[in-house]
Amino acid sequence: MRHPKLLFITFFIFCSHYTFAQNRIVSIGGTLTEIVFELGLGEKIVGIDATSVYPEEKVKNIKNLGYRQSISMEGIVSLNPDIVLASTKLTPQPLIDSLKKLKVNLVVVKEEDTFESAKEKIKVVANKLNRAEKGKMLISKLEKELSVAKEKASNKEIKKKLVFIYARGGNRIFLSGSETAADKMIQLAGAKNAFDQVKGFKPITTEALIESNPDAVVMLKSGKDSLKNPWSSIKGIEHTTAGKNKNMILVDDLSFLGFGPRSASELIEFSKKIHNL
Amino acid sequence: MTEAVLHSRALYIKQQRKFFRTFCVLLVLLLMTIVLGIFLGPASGFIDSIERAFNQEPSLIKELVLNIRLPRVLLGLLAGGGLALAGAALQILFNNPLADSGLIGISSGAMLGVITGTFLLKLIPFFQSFFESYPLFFLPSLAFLGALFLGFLVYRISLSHGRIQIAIMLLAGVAVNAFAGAYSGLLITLLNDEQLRSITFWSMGSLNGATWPIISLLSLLVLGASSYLYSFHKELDALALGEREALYLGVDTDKVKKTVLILSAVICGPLTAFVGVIGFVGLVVPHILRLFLGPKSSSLLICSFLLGGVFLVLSDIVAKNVVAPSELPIGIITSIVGTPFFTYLLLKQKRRLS
Repeated sequence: MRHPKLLFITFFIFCSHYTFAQNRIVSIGGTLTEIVFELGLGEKIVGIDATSVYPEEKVKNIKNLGYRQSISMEGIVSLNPDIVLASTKLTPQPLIDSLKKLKVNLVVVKEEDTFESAKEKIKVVANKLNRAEKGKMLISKLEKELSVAKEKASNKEIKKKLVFIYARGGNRIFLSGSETAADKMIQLAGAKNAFDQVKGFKPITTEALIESNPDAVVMLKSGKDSLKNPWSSIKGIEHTTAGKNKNMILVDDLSFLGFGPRSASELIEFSKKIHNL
Repeated sequence: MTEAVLHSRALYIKQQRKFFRTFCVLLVLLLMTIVLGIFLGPASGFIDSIERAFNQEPSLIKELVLNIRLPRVLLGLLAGGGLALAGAALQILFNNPLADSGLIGISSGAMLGVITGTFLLKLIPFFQSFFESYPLFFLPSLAFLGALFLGFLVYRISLSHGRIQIAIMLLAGVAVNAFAGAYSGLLITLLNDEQLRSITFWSMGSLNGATWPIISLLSLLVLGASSYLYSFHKELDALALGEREALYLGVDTDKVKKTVLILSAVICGPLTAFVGVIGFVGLVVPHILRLFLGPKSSSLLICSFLLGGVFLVLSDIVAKNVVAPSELPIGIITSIVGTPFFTYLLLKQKRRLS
């Protein structure tokens, strides 16, 4: 033992990287939180954002940092995290910048509304948390489900027209236009978004909704819960095919819109429901 | 008769004639706007709409015209008319060109009521079941209560030795508005994403929610309160001379102030609950008319109602058609169209005076 000091330092660095590392995870983004749980590291999460709603029973007991703009840098730092996973969709850029300045171990995960991005997210998170093997398993499971989903997707000549109603109230109806997660899922299921001529989430006039005459309404389960009778709260829907036949497809928030580990199986379910219209 | 009396008589007749002419023009404009509003929509072209509406076939366009477009036009008339009339009355009452329902806390009170209501809906199941059974009355009555509460708060603050100090009233309005803004901001941070979106867009204003039950409720409230308000036009004329002068003329000024305040809350509160916050109409429409008509209250109130209605319906036609199938917040249109016109009138007035 000629260099006990050196050995000690090496040992310390070793320890800090592998033994003590990543015992305290902060996850900003519902899909990222979900992936961490799928990797079996859920109990190490010490902080989440408001979009982290799955697995429901478990995330309830984790400290919630808020939603987007209301997430504070100090709130994150006070949790003393070893690693912060930040979704590009849900973390404001100023927050990312200030976390970088503080030399917090920050992993910015790019989120897009594609299944390619879903795989990439799993890969990045799994690698950063030293669970590469488990990550590969999750990805191959996702790929298998995705190929099933592709078979199930409706490939009829005349596509079913769907509207994804994001929010109601205040006398307004918000719909998902093109370039939204819901629009992607509708296309992947082999159907048509009745309002793909508008971009993003837009309020739609009652008149336009009636004229578009959708075959079914797609809504989030959580959104539907907020009112007992969703049909009466969507003005004008009774004059459309969807309203006449009471065709409503309910989807899960995070797996339908999040492009995460459960999204492929959600897509299979969704396609089945479109078939049954 | 002295020369002065003769002169004032001639002026009176001239003003009456001017009023009559403006009234007729506005009436024609009103009819044209209604027709335009009914036959111009994102769903189909103008001529196409007329053809199909008059052919007795039970088509989609007939449904559109009767149950979607007509209520929307009527809601625009009621909202624009009510806001402009209340604005005109408040401007005379406060003897201040900046007064409108926004300045003395009525609009923000209504907003407070609606946001509190939305929050309670999320929090307390009792309110949700109440809302489910009376969707038409829940938020509007809260909006009315909020408008009345803040309106009266301003009224009470400005009451000193049994008399209302107009200057303090305006400042109290500023204070109350600031409070309402903070309170709304606080509640908004507690709402979820979906509620937040609907509140944000609600606050920008839209006529898309129009249905026949809403129209019947609002026409009862707005037309009733407006005609009652109109019956005070002589007292308002006296008040325009100044408070002391009005008292000497035998006007119970405090009663007039109180009544006009309550009536403005009755008009603006429920309106705000249904169409959101629509600025500009209440402030500028009476001004434009005053430049034409002079300060006489009776003509000002009637014409404000008509022009306010016409202006809002026209704005709505733009709002729902330019970005169809989506729509723009109507407040954006009223401001974009109204501000340049108003500035033009101001400049013209300035040149005439100098």
